[in-house]
Amino acid sequence: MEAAMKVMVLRKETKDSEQEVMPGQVFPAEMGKFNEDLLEAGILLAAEGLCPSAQGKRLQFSGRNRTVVAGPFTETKELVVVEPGRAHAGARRDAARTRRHFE
Amino acid sequence: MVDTGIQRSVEAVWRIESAKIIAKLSRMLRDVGLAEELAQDALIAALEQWPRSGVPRNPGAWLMTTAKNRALDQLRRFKLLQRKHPLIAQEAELLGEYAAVDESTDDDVGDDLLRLIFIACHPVLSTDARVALTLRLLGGLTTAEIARAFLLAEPTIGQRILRAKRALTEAHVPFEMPRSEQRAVRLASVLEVIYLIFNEGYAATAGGEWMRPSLCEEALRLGRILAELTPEEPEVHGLVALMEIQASRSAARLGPSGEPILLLDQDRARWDQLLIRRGFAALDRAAGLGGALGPYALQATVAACHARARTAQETDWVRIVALYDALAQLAPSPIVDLNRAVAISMAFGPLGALEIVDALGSDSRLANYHLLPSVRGDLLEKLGRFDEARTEFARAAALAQNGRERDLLLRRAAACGT
Repeated sequence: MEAAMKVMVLRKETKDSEQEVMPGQVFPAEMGKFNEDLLEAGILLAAEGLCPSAQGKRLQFSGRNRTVVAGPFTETKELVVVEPGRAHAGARRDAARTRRHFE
Repeated sequence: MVDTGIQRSVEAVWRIESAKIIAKLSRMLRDVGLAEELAQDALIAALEQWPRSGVPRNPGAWLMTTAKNRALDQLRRFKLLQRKHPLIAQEAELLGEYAAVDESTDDDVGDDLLRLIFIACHPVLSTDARVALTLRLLGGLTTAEIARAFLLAEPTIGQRILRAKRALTEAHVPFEMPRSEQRAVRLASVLEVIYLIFNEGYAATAGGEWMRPSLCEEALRLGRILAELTPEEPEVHGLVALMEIQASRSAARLGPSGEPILLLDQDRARWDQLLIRRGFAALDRAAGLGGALGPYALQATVAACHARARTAQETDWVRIVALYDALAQLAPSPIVDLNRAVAISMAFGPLGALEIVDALGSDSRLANYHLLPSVRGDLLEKLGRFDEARTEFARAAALAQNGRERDLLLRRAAACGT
């Protein structure tokens, strides 16, 4: 099984950049080059800007009265206790495949 | 000997009307315990009279009038006492005042009902007491029915309800809407009670049945009433959405002999599309009120991902992982982490999930939670580590209190044997 890892790179804004003050010549040029390299290597999926934080919202939570409550969660309660025949056959197949992969 | 047909109609009317009657009497008497007693008297009167006189044309109104008359009698008796015993004059005066404002219209019934919900779920009560009292006062369930639902002895539940009512009286909990600064905390408590009732129906803690659909229905009914009474609260709609969508799979989750059928094997044609549509509508309302990121709305959004997938293969597991990421941030809990791990194994494979589950192993809050070794066993089996998987399934089976779940876990342990 192949799991494709996706990475998101975030750059933190400064007071100047939030107000769209240009950061000189060198930085944009270097960033453009970095983006182009990624694009050429075929690994860049998207590059986008976010809105200034002034337009954002900050969520705050108080930590008081937080108890652990079991809930009607599908993932553990309806998925894990699988019928043995099926699960086992599937797992055996996966295991065989994994072994082949490493041999 | 009471005619069983009549008895059944009395019980049906009671289930629908009792909460309103208790709410109304609570406003008149300012005492939830006394209100419930007098409402019960009206029920007994109906059981005695209706077999002789026939069921009245408006049975709900009959019960309400009878109960109100008893409350007025009670108030008159208080007044008489007041004249004889000046010591309790003050309290009786108070009661007289409320009797005077009693002639409130039906428009206030909703408000009274909401006050009753807030009282039954009051934070001075333990969670267990809140659940029992809510089912009793708002669900119209008998003590025996509640005891059966939670597999406890009837006297245990009877005591619990009695103590809860006494605690409310002793704490002088007023029959009023919580003040604004209190409201959020009080509403959270109400939502938690409904959530717990639903959860016990969705997957029963113990006993021989995997689900208790009547508890799901009761929670759903309470949730819908609450949503009507507090239409501006996004998390109420979020919780209703979660319950509607999770309940939509009830029929598909049970095999012919009551055995669990799990998500990937369910016949999706048997999912209740009406409930799913209602759930999506409730979720839209939550989002429209700015509540898309509320903990209940987020759980409903996960449920919606499953509801939307026409086949198990179509499930958007990557999105479900992202939703659990958000939930883990907003409402951190090891149980959320465990469910997130299962979603990760479905989206990206079991290895990453196992790391998370191993880290949860040291969390004392999950020490006796059978689903932790269940998930661990599942992941180990997928990785072909059958010996370790067998140990985990056996451990999970030993911790499971529900007979159906225990059977499945033991079978899975045995299947790892060869």
